[in-house]
Amino acid sequence: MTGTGQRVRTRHRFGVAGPEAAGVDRRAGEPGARGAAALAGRVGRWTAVWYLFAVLLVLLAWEIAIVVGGTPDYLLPTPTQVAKAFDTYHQPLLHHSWFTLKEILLGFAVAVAAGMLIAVPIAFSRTVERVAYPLIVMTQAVPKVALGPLFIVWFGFGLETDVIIAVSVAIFPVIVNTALGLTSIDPDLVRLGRSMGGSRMRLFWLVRLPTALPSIFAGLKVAVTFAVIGAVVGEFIVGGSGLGYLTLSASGNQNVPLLFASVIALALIGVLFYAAIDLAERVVLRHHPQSGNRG
Amino acid sequence: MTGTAKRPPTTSAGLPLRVEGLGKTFRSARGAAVRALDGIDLTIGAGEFVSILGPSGCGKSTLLAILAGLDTATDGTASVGGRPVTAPLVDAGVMFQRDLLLDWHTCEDNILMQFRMRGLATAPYRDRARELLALVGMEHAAQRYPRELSGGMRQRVAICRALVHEPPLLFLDEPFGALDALTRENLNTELAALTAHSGATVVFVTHGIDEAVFLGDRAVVMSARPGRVIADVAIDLPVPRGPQVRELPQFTAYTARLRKLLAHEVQAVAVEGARS
Ligand SMILES: Nc1ncnc2c1ncn2[C@@H]1O[C@H](COP(=O)(O)OP(=O)(O)OP(=O)(O)O)[C@@H](O)[C@H]1O
Ligand SMILES: [Mg+2]
Repeated sequence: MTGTGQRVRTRHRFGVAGPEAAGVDRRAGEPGARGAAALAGRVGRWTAVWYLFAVLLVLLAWEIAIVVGGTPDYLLPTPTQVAKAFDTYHQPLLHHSWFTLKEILLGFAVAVAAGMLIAVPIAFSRTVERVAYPLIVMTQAVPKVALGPLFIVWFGFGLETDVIIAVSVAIFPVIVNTALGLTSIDPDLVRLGRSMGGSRMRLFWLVRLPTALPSIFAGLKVAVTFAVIGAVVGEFIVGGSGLGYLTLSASGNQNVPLLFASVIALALIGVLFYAAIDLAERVVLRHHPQSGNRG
Repeated sequence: MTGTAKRPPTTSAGLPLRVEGLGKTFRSARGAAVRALDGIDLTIGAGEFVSILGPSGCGKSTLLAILAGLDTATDGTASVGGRPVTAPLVDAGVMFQRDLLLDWHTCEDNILMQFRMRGLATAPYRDRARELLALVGMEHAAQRYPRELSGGMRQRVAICRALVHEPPLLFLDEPFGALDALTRENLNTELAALTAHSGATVVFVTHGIDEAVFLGDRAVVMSARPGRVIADVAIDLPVPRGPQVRELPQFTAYTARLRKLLAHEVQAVAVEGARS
């Protein structure tokens, strides 16, 4: 999981260099944002090729190491065996993947909606901030896994409990980053808006929210990985459904190829969600300066 | 000069401005008090163009912010059109020292922000925005984003934003600070024509003695911090002012006089700096 996260982040860093380099192009007279898009696309395609190459290299080394080194396959299956497990167990894998996917989606959506609703009053009222922050810090300090059994008592042995656990971990980065983004605005920008007759509402929609977006997206990226973790932890505790449960049961049955297959499926889902947010960020923030602020 | 000169005069004639005993003390985070302005008295007639000169850090931007209702004075009063300033003046065009353009909007949309902030439709003003961009030599930048532009280009867009709604009051804080000498002189001529035409009252903060004289009906010189008015010089030069005004002997006399007044104050800043 962490490995993939880092990889995607590295690509993002390349993406950042893109528009800057393109800015120089455009100063030299190249029209429009096409230059930036083309460059980002080129970098993106190249990195994709490298990723594929790296993965294949690892798989090859893995296979050779087992065949030549003779590690027993009940401890470490070969990639071929894992591939076979994907084929043999495709039905339960799909079924549980779908369940986990739903949980992550629901957990993330609820965390984002609720987190933002909580963040806005915190950003706008000192009093709310003073009261809310201790509460947030205290609740964040509670290990959410330990609350699992309590959530089971409250919400039963279904999807709801997993979603609640996902929400409970994913909501903090949303609250903190949204509040931070909304409060760390240039005060002169607010004064300018006020001199233009902007009401608080219009200032919020036209200035505050757009300036907060980079920070909000940073929060969303953390939140989505937290939602994955929360959902799986929920499945560990609740049992019965989801890739977390499938992993556990495969472990219990000494079915190591299936265990690998379900962990890989989980990783793919995680990367999928992260990449979706990353893409949304690039589209939404395509005109935001990525580093520092001029003027 | 160009398109704007053909426009019928707007009904928004300038508003008079009055400042009495104005003072401002800032309290820093560590609790130290900084006296930025002290006992400023200033009366500016409707449609008058007043240049403000003063050493760096003497409180010019602070004075402008208080006049525009964006900051509050510690003592004294400021009034516009006979009414005390208690809230941001929405019928003013304010240009801050920094361009403060929104990165996620094109230059044109940045200018039109004047109308969006007021909850007005922007479509009727698009032509006006383009006209102004052309006036400052930026017509090619209408659809470009601020981060693709140089500092001086951004500043010119910000000027357009301050002017686009044809406000009866203009507060300009070093609007041409980042420009080369020639562009600056061109824009001085354009601004002179524009304000003479609209009849707006203008408070114009600058470090450029030449443009202070060229544009101003009066030039106010402020002292080193705490800022006070140490000289208020009426500039008696022919109007409308074209580039040839700079050749007049009176023009040179005014700039020489202001330079002398300023030199004294800038020296005071240096002495204070050396002491602390
Ligand atoms: N928010 C603030 N808090 C504390 N001190 C401030 C604040 N704003 C301005 N000052 C101080 O008030 C004084 C006047 O500042 P101001 O920006 O008005 O100067 P200025 O005349 O516009 O200078 P410049 O020509 O360099 O733009 C300065 O000494 C500055 O340090
Ligand atoms: Mg200033």
